[in-house]
Amino acid sequence: MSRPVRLSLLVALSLAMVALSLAAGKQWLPWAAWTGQDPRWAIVIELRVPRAILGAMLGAALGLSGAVLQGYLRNPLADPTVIGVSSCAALGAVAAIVLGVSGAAGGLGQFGWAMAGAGGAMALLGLLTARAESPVVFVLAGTVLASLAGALTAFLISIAPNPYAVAEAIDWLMGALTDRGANDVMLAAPFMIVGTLVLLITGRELDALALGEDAARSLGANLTRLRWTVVLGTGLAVGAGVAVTGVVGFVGLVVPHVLRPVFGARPSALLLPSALGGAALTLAADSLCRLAPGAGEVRLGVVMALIGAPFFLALLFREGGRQWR
Amino acid sequence: MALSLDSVTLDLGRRRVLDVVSANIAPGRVTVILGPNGAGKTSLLRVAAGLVSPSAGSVAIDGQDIGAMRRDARARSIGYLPQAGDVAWNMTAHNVVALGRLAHRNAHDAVAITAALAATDAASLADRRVGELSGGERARVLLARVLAGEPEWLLADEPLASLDPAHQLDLLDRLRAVARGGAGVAVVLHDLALAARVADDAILMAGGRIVAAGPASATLTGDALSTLFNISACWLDLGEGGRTIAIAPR
Amino acid sequence: MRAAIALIALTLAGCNAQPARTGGIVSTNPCTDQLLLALAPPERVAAISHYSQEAAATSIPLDLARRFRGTAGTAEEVVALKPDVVLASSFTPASTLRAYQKLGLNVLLLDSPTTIAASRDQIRTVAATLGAQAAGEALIARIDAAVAAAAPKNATRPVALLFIADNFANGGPTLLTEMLGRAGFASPPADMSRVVPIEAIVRQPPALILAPDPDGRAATLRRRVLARAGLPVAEAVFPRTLVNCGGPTIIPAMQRLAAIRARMTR
Repeated sequence: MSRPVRLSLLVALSLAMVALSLAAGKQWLPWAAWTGQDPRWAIVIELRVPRAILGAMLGAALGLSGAVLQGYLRNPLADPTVIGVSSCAALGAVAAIVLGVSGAAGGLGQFGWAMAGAGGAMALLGLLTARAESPVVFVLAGTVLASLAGALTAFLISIAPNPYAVAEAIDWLMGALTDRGANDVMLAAPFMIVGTLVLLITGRELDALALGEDAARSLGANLTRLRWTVVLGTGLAVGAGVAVTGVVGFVGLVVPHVLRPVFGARPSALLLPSALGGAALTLAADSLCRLAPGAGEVRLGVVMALIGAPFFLALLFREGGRQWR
Repeated sequence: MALSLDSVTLDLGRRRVLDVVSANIAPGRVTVILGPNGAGKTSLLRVAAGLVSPSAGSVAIDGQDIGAMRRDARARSIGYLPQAGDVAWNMTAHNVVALGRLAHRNAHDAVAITAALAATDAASLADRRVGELSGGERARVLLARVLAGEPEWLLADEPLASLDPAHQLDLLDRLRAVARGGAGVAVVLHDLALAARVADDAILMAGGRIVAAGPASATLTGDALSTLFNISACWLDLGEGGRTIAIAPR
Repeated sequence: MRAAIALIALTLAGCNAQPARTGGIVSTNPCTDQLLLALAPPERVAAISHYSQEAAATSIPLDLARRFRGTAGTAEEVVALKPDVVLASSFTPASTLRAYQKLGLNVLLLDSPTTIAASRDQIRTVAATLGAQAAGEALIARIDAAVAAAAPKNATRPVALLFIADNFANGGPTLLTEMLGRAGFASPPADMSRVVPIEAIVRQPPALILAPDPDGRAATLRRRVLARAGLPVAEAVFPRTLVNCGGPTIIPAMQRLAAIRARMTR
């Protein structure tokens, strides 16, 4: 099966997940609901459609940044959270919830604070790794940021003025696409689209990095610019995603892994498939969220973790190291 | 036209790795760089390749400072084969060799890749994954990667490490063929006998300085090598005009 | 250097507005604060919870709250005040309660009442402890009057969904549920509580949605979806400050609910 055929199948899968996302829920919406007269049209246009768009963009951003980071760090266990941007964005959002500005201007308050967190992380990351020669410094800096942000987030929750703020913060941190509307899409889309486009152009230099930093440089790769591109692209795409939906893990880790045997081990070959696969996985998980029993919906982060953990268990039981390469 | 280092000094942290080093790499010839561990051989090669800027002095090709060259022009001109032979991902050999065209990416790519694979006798390996190749096969594929870029200068850092003797001789022959094709080749080697086989010119280094440089016949003398490595080295006649270097403890 | 440290220490010691004193009552929770101030004269109040001095968390007027010493309720702080009684709540950490007991403090542990009857009992208990039985009975009488006045004039009971935060709904057997019932509202289905997806609301729309902030993110989206679905769901504001406590808060809460109920034509 050639690459175009495989890509087409992946695109078809993603589109199927979009369709499922629009139809599936506690009430399965038939195509009849798409006519304007049916009251369920409101659910479709105000809830399902923005949610599907946001879910697809979020999944694409997470899958793509996972593939880019795995290529950049030359490590199949890398994940967007390793650079600390999602933790800092989450910190910003929790600060907004606890300090009571989250409702401001139809959600702009919380989004703005989260993006400020992401921006701060990007700047700090750039500063800390300015003269770094190796990816180890990069990962260390990201770990520092993630730990610090995590500690500050816990601190903020502990000083929350009332138990509802605590509940809201904890609930938000678990990640959800529930009740994200057109407003959220319009806030996040510009950042996510720009971030995704920025990440898509790193392919060739990531391939060159497979030979090592010296060889890559000798082939003309600009590693400083590549690092900034990775930071900026991931920060914008994943930061905006976290700002709107909370923390959703595993997608960036699982999707490139699963697709590597199918699309080849070259980092550049995995970028577009990881974006498509991430979108499909996120939409599928979100549909599962809606199908949970009871009136409420399961948190997306929880469903994703429930998918991710068995995945890694399966990986563990396969033949040892061969899977990684 | 030569790749020349002019009074290059390189400080890494507080350590002076290269101390006012001047050297020339001539086109069409194989220049062998020898010296004890820590002499600065790898650093010399990295500076020559433009991978690290010298703290003082300059590197020039035919008078033009390589630091002033555009990144992709420099990449097209100089091919660098690093010591470590790892490929991070289990790509096909063909894809690895294709990486050598990164700075080119034009209609000539396919031809160059095929020629490089043929020149290293790796054509049969093209569709196999690098992770499954033996050390010798992988070394050939990585050399093909450098050749695919059709560089004017090929700088190789200990390309023979972990190869068996047959493959070592084979790789050296290929490097010599590259030089005969017009490129300037500089190789860091540890094995004196192999160096003696392939060298047209030689650079001897110790402690960040160049101890001797020039044509191999004049530079690679038994006395010079004995002093450099603190061993006893001498040339041996092998009959039919062949010669090699033999070593023994001092 | 030592002079500087001494100076700083003295300054910090003088930082608190109120001088340290002994005796009196310490309250460590905004709801118990409210009850205490309703039943006891100011001179008997040794300290109230620092949460009562923050706009987001208080159940008493801020200028009134700021006249008193604020405390975080840690055992250290409380024992230094040598109070006669400490009013603690179910929100007090278990380790702090144990510390209070070890230090020999006289602790009255109050939970959050889930019915109006429980709230009456709690008022009587606190009043008895304070020796302010008359004030307690007067307060209960005012509460009963407010509940009676809020009783609906007609028999219809529209379903009301009450959001206590932008995206967090009341549910189950709580004081708010009873108050809504007394004011003439019916409860939504049992699983429509906590985080309620808008799809669920569209599926089983209530007659009325009560929310603290009409411009909140979730409230805005809810309104849009319901409007587009053509569902006639009424909206009203129910302030955040009325959902936290029982006791004296019941009076303005019932008045507000009665006013909202009266405006509904169905």
